[in-house]
Amino acid sequence: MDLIINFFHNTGFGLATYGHLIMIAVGLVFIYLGIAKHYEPLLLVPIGFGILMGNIPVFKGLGLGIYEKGSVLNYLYFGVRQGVYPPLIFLGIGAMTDFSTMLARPKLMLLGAAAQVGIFVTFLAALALGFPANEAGSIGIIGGADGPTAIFLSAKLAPHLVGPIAIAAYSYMALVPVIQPPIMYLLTTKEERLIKMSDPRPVSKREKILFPIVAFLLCCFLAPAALPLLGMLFLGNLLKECLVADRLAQTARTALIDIVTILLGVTVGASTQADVFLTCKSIGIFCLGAASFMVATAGGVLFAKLMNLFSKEKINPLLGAAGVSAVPDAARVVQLIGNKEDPTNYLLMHAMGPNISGVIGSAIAAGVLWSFLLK
Amino acid sequence: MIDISELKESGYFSDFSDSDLAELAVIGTATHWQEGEIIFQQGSPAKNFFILKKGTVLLCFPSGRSLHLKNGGHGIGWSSLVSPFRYTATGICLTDTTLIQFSGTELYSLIRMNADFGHKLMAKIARTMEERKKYRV
Amino acid sequence: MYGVDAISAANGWMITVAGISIVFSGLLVLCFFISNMEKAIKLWDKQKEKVKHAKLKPVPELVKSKKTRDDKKRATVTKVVWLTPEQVEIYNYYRWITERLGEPFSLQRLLEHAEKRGIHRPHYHLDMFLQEGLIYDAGGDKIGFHRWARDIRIELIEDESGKAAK
Repeated sequence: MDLIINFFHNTGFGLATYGHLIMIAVGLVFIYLGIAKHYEPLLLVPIGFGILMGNIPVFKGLGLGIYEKGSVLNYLYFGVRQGVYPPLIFLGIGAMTDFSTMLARPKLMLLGAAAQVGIFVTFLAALALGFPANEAGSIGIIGGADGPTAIFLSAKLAPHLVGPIAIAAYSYMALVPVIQPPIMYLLTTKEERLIKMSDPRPVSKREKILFPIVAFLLCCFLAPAALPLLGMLFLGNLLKECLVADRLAQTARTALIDIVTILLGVTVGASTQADVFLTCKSIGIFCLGAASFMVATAGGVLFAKLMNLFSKEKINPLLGAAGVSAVPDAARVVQLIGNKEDPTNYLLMHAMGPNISGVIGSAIAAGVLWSFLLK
Repeated sequence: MIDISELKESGYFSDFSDSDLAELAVIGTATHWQEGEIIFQQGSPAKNFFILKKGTVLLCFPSGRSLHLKNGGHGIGWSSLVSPFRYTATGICLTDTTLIQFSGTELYSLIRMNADFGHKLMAKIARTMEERKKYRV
Repeated sequence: MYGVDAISAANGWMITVAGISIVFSGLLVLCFFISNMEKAIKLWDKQKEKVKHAKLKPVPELVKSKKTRDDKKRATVTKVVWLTPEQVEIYNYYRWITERLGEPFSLQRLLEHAEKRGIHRPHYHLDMFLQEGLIYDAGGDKIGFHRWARDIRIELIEDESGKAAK
């Protein structure tokens, strides 16, 4: 009988706490949102399942938990801890992104820069709330709306916060269609939302090939700490555009990015163990993360309005919201709202420009924060 | 509904009588396609027959061969009138294109009602099929 | 420590101002570069063209650099086709793709490759090359497959307005 009781105490049922059950519920919600609501399913399903994996109560010392040295999950977590996965994901993103929308109308890139204001405002807010500088920087980067960048920076600055920051970043990225529209309506008039953009100029293949090389050199000379992310992003893009490395580009944008996404999702999910995740800090991170997204959206929209004061060709200020780099969700939201006001107004391709420059902007911002805050 | 003059101009029905053309005009519709648009896919159910009025269409056959049809007068989509009623090629617009579209079912109704018209039309279709046979192999 | 004191203690203001400035200047420099890239390429092309004119008759770069045995014994030039710089660039890409496909090539496959590689208006340009006779049907048992015409010379139109004048 004692044997059976002992065995029971060593099972998940015996070891479970309320924290585990809450986190398992969170994991199930993620899986539900991914499968039933199609909110970023490629991310939320592996992360949700990772949360389940990380919150099965296990006997410490068996070498099963993600934080136990030598465990399988711990080995996989190495890629998160050392910032290996995010640059690989950027390689895939580069290989699947056509930068021509941005090249055709370069001034829209500034909207991508303006939206990064959210990162720095949140950084200040986090400092004011008493977070140490390294943690504040990691929290601020949530406003970049870029999961891999957020994971990369927090792994470098505040590794103990990777779980909550990644979960917050991906949750808000999935909630872009909910978070952004009220701010966009609030800050724009109907006339502004009706502005139609002229057709972009055609972009030659040579421009597309030259761009990743020169952009990489310019950006990394300016912010060398952005090297791992931007280097891989632009390498991926060069592979895509140069035409002679089609096989590599194909692998980067399909198999490689899928594999890394699975590993990243599962390990980030598994890192949210109840005792690490269910803390007051996590609540603070979630609140600041939401604020960060809102400020970023507002920053982009307001900057577009500011640009309209000085430029002859008016920009639809909704495009500013696409400056947060959640690609392509933010651009889709812009299209949706523009289309609601005028069914003949198609803003999607115009919004892709600031959307993509937002990726570059947030990577530069991450590099800047890393170099300033690394102790 | 289109104008009889449009059918006459297209050239494909040049040897058809005015009464035949009047009947065709009732069931014809002018459709506009954009550069790069696919009119039909090889293997998909063939529901419509088209006459090329303006523009350029590339017919791509599964054999890898392709036929470049430009300007007016070409009949496209004969499979809508011949068994097994599946398109044998993929039709792609290379430029902005105007096609006169006829529903296969409605053409069949006309054929059923007017045998002379049916003969003439099927003779044309047979000629077109023969011309394109070498592209299918 | 909380509030403004905490921000000042952690150099928050400085980091924020420097961060925003660096992000903006990075993207501004990039924006400036991109805005001028097209002009720079055009200027480069013009210079290259001038040098070419001085040396020999203008032949598109790819055609010139990848001479085949066919080229060497090609027939005399019977027609000249005028293309804009963009059309010449796309012409070169199409030739590059067909070099991989081998002649005679399938137009369908050529279009697929062109679309996959994001070539600008692939259908329009293919039609133009066909209409101009730059691409012709191979005929015989290869009917429906196509080849590049060897007896046509490409000339470059200096600016876009030339296209309208043609």
